[in-house]
Amino acid sequence: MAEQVVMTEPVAVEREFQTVDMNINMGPQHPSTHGVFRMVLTVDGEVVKDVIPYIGYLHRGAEKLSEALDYRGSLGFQDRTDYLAAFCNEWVHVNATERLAGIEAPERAEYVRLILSEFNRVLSHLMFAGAFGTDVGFFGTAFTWAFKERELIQDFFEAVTGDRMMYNYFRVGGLAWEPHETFVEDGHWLVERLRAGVADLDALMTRNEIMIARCRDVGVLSAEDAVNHGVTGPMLRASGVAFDLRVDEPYSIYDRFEWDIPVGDRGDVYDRFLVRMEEMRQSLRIVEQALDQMPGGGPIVAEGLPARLRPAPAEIYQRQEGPRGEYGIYMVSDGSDKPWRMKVRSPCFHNLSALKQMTIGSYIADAVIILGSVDIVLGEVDR
Amino acid sequence: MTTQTDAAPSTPESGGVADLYREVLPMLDFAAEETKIDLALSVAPDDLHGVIAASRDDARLSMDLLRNLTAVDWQDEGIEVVYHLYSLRHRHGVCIKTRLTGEAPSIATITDLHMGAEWAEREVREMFGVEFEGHPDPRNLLLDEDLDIHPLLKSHPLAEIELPQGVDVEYFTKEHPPDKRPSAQEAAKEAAAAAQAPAEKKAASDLTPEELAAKRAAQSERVKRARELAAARRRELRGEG
Repeated sequence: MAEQVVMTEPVAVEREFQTVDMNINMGPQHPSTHGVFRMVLTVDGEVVKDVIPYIGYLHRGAEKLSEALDYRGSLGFQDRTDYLAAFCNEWVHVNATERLAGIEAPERAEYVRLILSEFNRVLSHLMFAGAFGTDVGFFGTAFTWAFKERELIQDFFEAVTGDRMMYNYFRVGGLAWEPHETFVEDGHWLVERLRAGVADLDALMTRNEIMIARCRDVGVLSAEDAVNHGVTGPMLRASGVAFDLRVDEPYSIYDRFEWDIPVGDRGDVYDRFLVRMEEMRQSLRIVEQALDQMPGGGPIVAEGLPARLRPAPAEIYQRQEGPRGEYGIYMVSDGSDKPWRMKVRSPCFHNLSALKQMTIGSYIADAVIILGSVDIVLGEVDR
Repeated sequence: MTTQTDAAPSTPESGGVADLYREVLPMLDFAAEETKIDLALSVAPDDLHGVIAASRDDARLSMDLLRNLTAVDWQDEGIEVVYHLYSLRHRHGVCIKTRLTGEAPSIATITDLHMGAEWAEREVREMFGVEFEGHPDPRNLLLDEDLDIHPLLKSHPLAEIELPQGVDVEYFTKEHPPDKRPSAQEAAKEAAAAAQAPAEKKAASDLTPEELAAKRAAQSERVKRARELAAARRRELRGEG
């Protein structure tokens, strides 16, 4: 007789599922770290429990070197800190030196500086949108579309300065040389062209379902935390704080133009993207007004500049709104022809320090997006 | 997402900020000085933490944004630590400074007030040798983690440390505090002397004295050789034969 098989109810085994925290090293050579940045993630399954960022791989000692060069000589380093916003940084440097030495740049030079800096902001944000698209998963289309427009801006810069990235065009008291003859016409053409380009990117990315699914409510940074971390620029505005140095501490000729400050309401990755997209349009608005108002002729360099600058002992913390936030230069003069101390306050340095706060508790795949939304340039973090 | 039209810019009244500080902290002893933009208040190192805390928490000041933290080396007159604060509510800013003197400059950390100070203090610590008491994570930030040099001190040479790899790190570590750091010539002499007499003062963990001596001799040989080569190259460039 065959053995009878008795079917019994399966016994549920109560067992605690044991997990072990794992450390994952990301970078310094990693495509999604936007340069040489390393972070060690402690993960529990898919969830990030701790982040230790390591920076300094691109530290070149620009501050120490600037102390050994005269006021004009260290200008070239500013192109190499934030290499995506070289004009904005050069502008801070020449403004700081001019205010220390009591020099005033001619109006026409200020207009050219402002136009170039605002175009530079658009360039930087385009670069962000393209690279961010790759982070989110667009695999190239957003990247190439953004870079196509960025090339046009670089062509324009090349026509003015002769260089595509390291311009070294601003001078203490003015500009190195006259911009080319068709500067204003080219500028107007470029504004129109970029409007269309930004609209294309907008149509491709902003309402994309995957984009929204991956970015909404990820990496939230509250306004209080953002301020407490010293976060500035589009990241702070995405968290709902309308702080823009162009309005709050107006410098140069920004008070002559009409534009709006985009502000986010949730402080997540998606808001940061939206704020930057809107800032591009607002920058183009400013550029258009500036091109219309710009005087047709006149000097581009102040007269009677000394061969060697020897500002009286004083100090200045000059700060201006760069594409990533408050870019400041703290300059101390001791009466000699070299600055006694020159400190660069880089916005990314402070923005990146909030990374830990934003990343802990998120999924490991989101860590890449959160880092992308900070829009870091490591050359500026490490200086 | 909303857009805000730009509000009317408020003019910064730096004189008003000094009066506010006198009102909020009547017992505080400070010296006010106008810089090109901000008003600078010099306070005693012991008062600093309290001043930053009051700046942040008092509703009249409400300086919630630490926008910049750095230091300046004034050589014999000490190291000046500089804090730039800004109030997002009242749209005014101030610069607070304090002067640290003595062999081992140290000051209380403000990371408990501003989280953004953590990296900035680490940078000042490695660049100037200022210790921040109570800092949660006092490691090097930009420099190599075990490199104990303070490059932004004026006593630190700009380019003389460029030695062959593997030599400079050990030479510039703990045994030479920044103020007692010898010049390159003295260093070469010292390295040669160290090669002559096997030095025991260095606690090089598990090396035997013979190994240590051999290592040091080889190192100083390399240093000397590099210096000679560099000097020869300089002479050649100057056309001195």
